[in-house]
Order: sequence, then C-alpha cells, then structure tokens
Amino acid sequence: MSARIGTTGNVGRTAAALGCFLLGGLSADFALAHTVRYISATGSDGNNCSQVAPCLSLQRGIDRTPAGSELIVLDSGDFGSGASINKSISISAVGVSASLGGGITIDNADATVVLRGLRLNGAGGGATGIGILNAAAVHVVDCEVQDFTGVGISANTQTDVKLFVSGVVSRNNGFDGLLFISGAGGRLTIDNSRFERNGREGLNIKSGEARIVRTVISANANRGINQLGAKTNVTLTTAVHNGLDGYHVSIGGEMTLEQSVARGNDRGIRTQGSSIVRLSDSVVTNNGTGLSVAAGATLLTRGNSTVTGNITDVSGVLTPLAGI
Amino acid sequence: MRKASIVRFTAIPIALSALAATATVRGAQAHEVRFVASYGNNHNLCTREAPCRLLQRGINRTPAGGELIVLDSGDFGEVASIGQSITISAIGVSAALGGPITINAADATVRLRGLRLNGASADPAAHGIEIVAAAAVSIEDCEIQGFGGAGIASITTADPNLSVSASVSRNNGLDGLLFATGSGARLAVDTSRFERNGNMGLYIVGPAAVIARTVVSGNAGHGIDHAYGSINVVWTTAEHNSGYGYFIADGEATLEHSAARGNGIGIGVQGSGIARISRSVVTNNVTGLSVSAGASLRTRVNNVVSGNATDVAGVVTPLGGI
Repeated sequence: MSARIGTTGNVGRTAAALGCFLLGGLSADFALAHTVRYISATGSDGNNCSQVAPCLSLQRGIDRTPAGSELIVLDSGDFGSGASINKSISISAVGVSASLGGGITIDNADATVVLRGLRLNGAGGGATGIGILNAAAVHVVDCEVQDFTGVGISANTQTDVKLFVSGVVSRNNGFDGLLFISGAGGRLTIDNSRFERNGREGLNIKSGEARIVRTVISANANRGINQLGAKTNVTLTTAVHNGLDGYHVSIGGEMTLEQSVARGNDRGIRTQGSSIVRLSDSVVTNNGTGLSVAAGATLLTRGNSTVTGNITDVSGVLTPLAGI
Repeated sequence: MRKASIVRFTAIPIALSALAATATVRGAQAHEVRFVASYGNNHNLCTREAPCRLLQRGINRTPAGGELIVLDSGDFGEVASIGQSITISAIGVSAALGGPITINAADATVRLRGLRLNGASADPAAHGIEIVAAAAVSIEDCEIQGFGGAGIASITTADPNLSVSASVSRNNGLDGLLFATGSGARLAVDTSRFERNGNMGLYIVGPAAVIARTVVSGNAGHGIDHAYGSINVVWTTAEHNSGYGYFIADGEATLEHSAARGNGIGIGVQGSGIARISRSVVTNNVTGLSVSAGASLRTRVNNVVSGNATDVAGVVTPLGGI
C-alpha cells in the first residue's frame, strides 16, 4: 500500500494520515527484528553477547550484533583499542564511562550508524578518533574524542554522507577537531558541541553544506572554523582564542553568521578568495583584526553587530545587507 | 498482516485489563513505585527486591498514578501498552525497547523518560510511540528510531497535551512526529532533534504548538509541516530537508530567531496561511521565502534572507515592531 503522505499539497493530508493509521495494520506481515547485544567490563569475548553472557570488547559486540540492531554497553570499563563498523548499528553507552583506547572506523556506503556515549582516547597512539570512510549517515551523540595524533572526527568520504554531531567534545587531537570532505550532497549538522585545543583547525569543512549551532570552538592552534568552498550557517556559536582566524572562509565558500561570537583570535572573521560572509547580530571583540575582507571577497553585514575592541576592527570593505 | 493485526487489536484489552487490575488499589497509597530490571522475572511483584523483567509487566503492575523505574540497562521487550496514568523512568541506563508503545487512556497522564525505542521494522503502521488517547503525555530524553511509521504519532480526535523534550526521532519511515488531533490539543517541543525521517520532520495538523531549540534536519519531506491552528517556533533550525523547511498551510506560524537553510524552499506559506518572521536567517535554499496568492508573510524587516537561488517569491508584507 502507499502509506507515504505526500510531501506537497494540502488537500486530504489529514485523511491520508488517518488512512495510513487505520489501514497500516492490514498492510503486510512485517516481522519485528528487534535484537540487542551487550558488552560489559565483566564480559568475555567467548560469550554470545547476550545480557546474561555479555562480551568484553566493543569489536566483538559489533561483530555479534545483526545489521540494524543495537549494542548496549552495560557498565563502565575499557572496551578495547578500537573497532571497525561495516553495517548499520546503534551503539549505546548511557550513564557509564565506556572507554575505548583507539579509534572507530566506519566503512559501508549504505550504513546508518549511531554512536552514543562513547569515550575515545587515542593516548595509546591512535591516528583518527572516529574515521568515516563511507556511510549513508552517522549520528555521533554525547561522545568524547581526545588525544588522537590525527583528526578527532573525520568524514573523508567524497560521497554524500550525512553526519550529525550532537553533545560531542573533540579535543587535544594532533590535527583537526573535525574534518569534513564529502561529495556535493554531503551534509554536516553540529549542535551543542565543543572543539578545543586541537593541533590544527577546530572544524575543517572542505565541501558539502553545514549547520553549526550552539557550539564552542576554542583554543585550536589554527582556525576555529576553516571553510573552503562549502556553504555553512553558524548560529549561537563562539570561536575564541584560536591561533589564527575565528571563522575563515575561502575558495568560493559561503558562511552566514548569526548571534555568534569571535573573540581573542588573530582575526575574528576572515573572508577571501571570492567567498561570501553574511553577518548579523554578532559580537567580534578583542581579536587582532575583527573583520578581514580580502579583495574579491564579500562581507555582507546587517549593521547590527558589535565589532569593537579589536586592534584593527575592520580591514577591507563591508557591504550593507538590508533586512527582509 | 497477521503480526501487525495482532499488535493492533490486542493493545486495547491489555490496556483495559491494566486499568481493571489497578482500580482497586488506586488511591490506597500516595506514592507507588514498581521496578523492572534485566535480571527481573515477570512472576515477581515488580518490587525493588524482586523486579519484573518486561516493561509491559511493570506497567501492568504499577497502580494508576504510580511510577515505574528501570533499574539497569537491557532489552525490556517489544510492544507495550499503557492504559493508566504512569511515570516510566530510565535514568543513567540504556533501556531498549522494540516498540511500539501505545498509550490509550483518555484521562491519563503519562510520562516516558529515558527510553530508547529501536523499531527495525518496515511496517508503516508501526509508530514508535503512539498516542491513541491521553490527557497529557511527556516524552523526555527518549530516542526513537527505525520504525516503519512515525517516530511519535498522535492521530486522534481527542485533545492530548503532548510535550516532547530533549528527545530524538530519527530514521523512521514516515514522520519524526505526527500530531493530528482534536481542536483542544496542545504540543510543546523543546531541545529535540528530528533527523532523516522518510516524510516530515514534524507534521502538525493540530491547533496549537510551540517548537523551541530544536533541529529538524535531513527529512525527506518538509522540516516542519503545519496546517491549521497556530504555531510558534523559536531558536529552531530547519535544514537540508528535501521539501520546505517550514511549510504553513491554512494556519498561523510565528518564527523568531530561527533558521531555514539548504531546503527546497526555506519558508513557504500557502492557502490562507499566515507567517510572521523576525530575526531569522534564510539562506542557501532554492527559494528562500515563498508566498502564494491569498497567503500572507509578514516580516519585521530584520531577517537575513540571502544566498538563495531565489530569495523571495511572492509578496512580503512589513510588520512594524511595537
């Protein structure tokens, strides 16, 4: 039966919804495939990963969880030195410290992966924290990724991957806090997260489109957000104390900044290489240069931002943007 | 067909039996708490020392108005029906359920906290949490994913008061949240996420709603589809949805401090719909604002509407501040 409600048009939509509700029960025989597997600090990899006989390592738990099913971390502990995921899975560690002494690699073009509550620590020498080589969608929720020698969270797929990052911290990694290199249809959504003291960029976005909201990007060695050629919207976000620019857009990128802060960076907001920045209702203070607009680039401002207290407030030409 | 039908039609008798079983003890104690645990047993009385195993058994043994606590992480079963007022609380644990959870009790107040529903079923009639009838339902810190139907569905001519807070509804076949109700119903959503659902992120065919601090992203239909009644949206993002970011048909929507980016159409008003926008950002959509003849879009002239292939299609009316 055609149960989908149309995405356009209004007439009869309620009826369609009710029809779906009433008729759906008669539609087909859909077996529930609800399967849960478990790992525990007291488990053993010789077990079958059931609740009463949990496995020990995250990798074994993943291997024994059927595609599309769920893996629960039962208690606090050390769950191995890394893991590879090549199918859809939802991993959940709630109310526990689920530590992993290495990275997680995700590599399956059709997979939807949810990682929740994991603490990845690369102090043992791991290169990449969460490395997405290929996936349909990855949801990283309430995770902590730190001390890797390379990138904290890396989506270097060249495909149209969808990456959702919520309530996450990526800190003290050798390279970027997060690196995003997708196809043109790649999408990145970040909310309520922190990218702190990484050795290169806080966020390094090189393609696709992104939305960043309620996020703090602080004390990274290079730029807070480094954006090359992508399109992003940034709201309620703070870039502070980064070694180079707070927000940097180049190579024809577009960034819209609203209700955000740049303070204490070398340059607060910098646009160059025919890129466009739109600025509204934001605060840019205590940077070396507040706003830096290179020849050929554009900074459109609604004229309602606080740009003051920088050594140089404005370098280059600003263009007014009328409200609508 | 067989399995889905059984699920549908056994829900009500279970709910009624739960009501009957608890009617005699209602009011006997001010504070009744029951427990389920992974190591529990359904022959137990669901006490702290002797917890039950499945959520459904725990619900059945919890007196109306009482509380059911999930003691540890585990799989607490598939289908569950709620026919009485109850608070189910899973804090600091992974409380997994196959779902669906059906709530069917006209006068009940139901609170669900900390549940993780993983549907893994393509059945479009299988919604994650389905409200058939209730006075009020609160869904807090819940995660609902992989259902063939909607993540959260309230399809009823009754008037439930639904609150969704700090929850996620993602990768469901139909809507993230479907709210189609009677004229007295109310919906409040805050700090939640609706991601990659097969139809709308939020599909609201109800009389009154507020959406705050919420991200609605990557849904195959519209981000927020609102028809009839009135809705307020604040601090909310609708992005990367294939249809409209915000679609207002024959209703009234007030958007403040919100964003529409990378959708087919950022904000669209049709029919006799009215939208008011203030301090919002509309960028990188194919069309930013779309106003059909007969509809109205009023703007405080303080929005950033820029960088869309077409910024404004139709007529936008200024709205003075007071």
